[in-house]
Amino acid sequence: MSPNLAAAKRLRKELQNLERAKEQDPDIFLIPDGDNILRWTALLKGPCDTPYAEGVFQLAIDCGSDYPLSPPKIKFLTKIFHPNVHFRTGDVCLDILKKEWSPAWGVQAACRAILALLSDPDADSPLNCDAGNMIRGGDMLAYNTTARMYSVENAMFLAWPTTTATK
Amino acid sequence: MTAASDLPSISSTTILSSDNITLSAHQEQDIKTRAQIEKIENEIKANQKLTSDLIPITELSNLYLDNNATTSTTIGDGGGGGGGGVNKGFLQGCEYLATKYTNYRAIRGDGNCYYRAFLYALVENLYNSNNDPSSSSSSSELKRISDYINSSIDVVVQRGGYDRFAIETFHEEMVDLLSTITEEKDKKNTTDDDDSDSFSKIHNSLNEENGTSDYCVWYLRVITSTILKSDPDRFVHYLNDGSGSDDPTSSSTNSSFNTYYYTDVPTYCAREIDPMGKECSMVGVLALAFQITVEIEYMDGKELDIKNNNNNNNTNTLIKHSFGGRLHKEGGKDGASDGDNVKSSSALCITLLYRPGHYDILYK
Repeated sequence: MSPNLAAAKRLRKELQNLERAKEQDPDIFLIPDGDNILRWTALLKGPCDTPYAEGVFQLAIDCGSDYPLSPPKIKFLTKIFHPNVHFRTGDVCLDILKKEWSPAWGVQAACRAILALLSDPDADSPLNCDAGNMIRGGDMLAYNTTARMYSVENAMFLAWPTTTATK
Repeated sequence: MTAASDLPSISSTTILSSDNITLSAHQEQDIKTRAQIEKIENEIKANQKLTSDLIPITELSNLYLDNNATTSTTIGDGGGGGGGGVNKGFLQGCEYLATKYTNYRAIRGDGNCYYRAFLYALVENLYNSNNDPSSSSSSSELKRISDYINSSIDVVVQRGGYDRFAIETFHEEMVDLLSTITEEKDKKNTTDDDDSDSFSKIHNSLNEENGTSDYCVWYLRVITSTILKSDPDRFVHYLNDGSGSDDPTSSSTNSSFNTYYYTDVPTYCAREIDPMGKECSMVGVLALAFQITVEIEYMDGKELDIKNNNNNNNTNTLIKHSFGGRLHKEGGKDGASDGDNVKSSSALCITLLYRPGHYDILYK
């Protein structure tokens, strides 16, 4: 089996699974890009009780031909102030998207992990040092307000793409 | 946008600084380390086949003769023995191996070597098992392993807790590999062709990048995890034994970032077994020795006491351990035991060579 075919086959299975269990993750919306099933767009709802609440964040997911043996590359397209997301590039620093990746996961599980990261930032391995330093220094007010400000400025413009209003 | 007005005022400089991020020293180091590891990984990928052709065992000592720059990359995961003094023990070990074995097969040092060596040796054994005159019993070995693998997907889903959709492709690849062996064996029996030619097809498919070998390697990881999760009480006390070696130089590129202390089996499996490229530790070796016997010669660079023949028999030879096999069923006692007791317990027996951080296959 050619690698590209293997990756596409697997992602098609993931897509079927997503359609079957749509309600399982109401805060994650996933859709493949047009005719290329190796590229996906994800929308994540900022978790409640975080500075990202009410925000809708857009991410680009890029699965290489060696997917699912290798993790997908995931980037925030919506600007976000978070210790583990690169402020300019949107790169995410998350162990399961690097060395801890397991082919047992899929794009949905990866998004779930990113949502968890939004709720529970890891200040000790920061890609955004300013955000990391605020948390490490115990200045949660600075972190919360800065992150909130960027959420309000950048993440309030995308409508959640469902036919039935969830609010 | 009303929320913004509720915020306490922050000085604009705080915000602006985020736009021109300067990397911390720690972060810069981390990026450099990652880049270097990636470079080493690519080098290994370019220079080492997943599973090499047979190499005469006498050539093994060449790796330890002089400390030229290439030594460390050819050895594999462990990165070589280092200084000249260490090599004496390795050279003695090579000499000893040459008295017992004729060839070895080098496995790529990418952190998957144990699983890959296990896979290749198993496949080769199953393929060759028909050469015995008592072919009825040995071809049943192929059937036994095929049955085990065929039905394993349900066990893996139920006990291992894996999503079926995520592992199906990997399971299918493993099933296909085993049926290829059956087909090629039949072909060999009917046409009376040269053995090596028909096996070379399997050998080649096991050397495709991102192909059969990797897919089956991961399925073996899934089986290992499932066996560990099925019997956590038996394994939980052995999770933190390190990489099977107490040699401090054996810490590999793959595990250098984080070391965890594990207290439960599922976390261990998620971090150490399921991800590709994580080396197999002793507890993984124990678990994976399912249905077949795995013998491992340990060459760790300790000097052998060659003159002292009549003393304890462990001092003048490399230490060899046998794992698993049918011991599970017969004795009621499972796991590791001393080599000689289990020699005949399974018709399927693979022999591996351990060097710090790395496994290869040995041939008699």
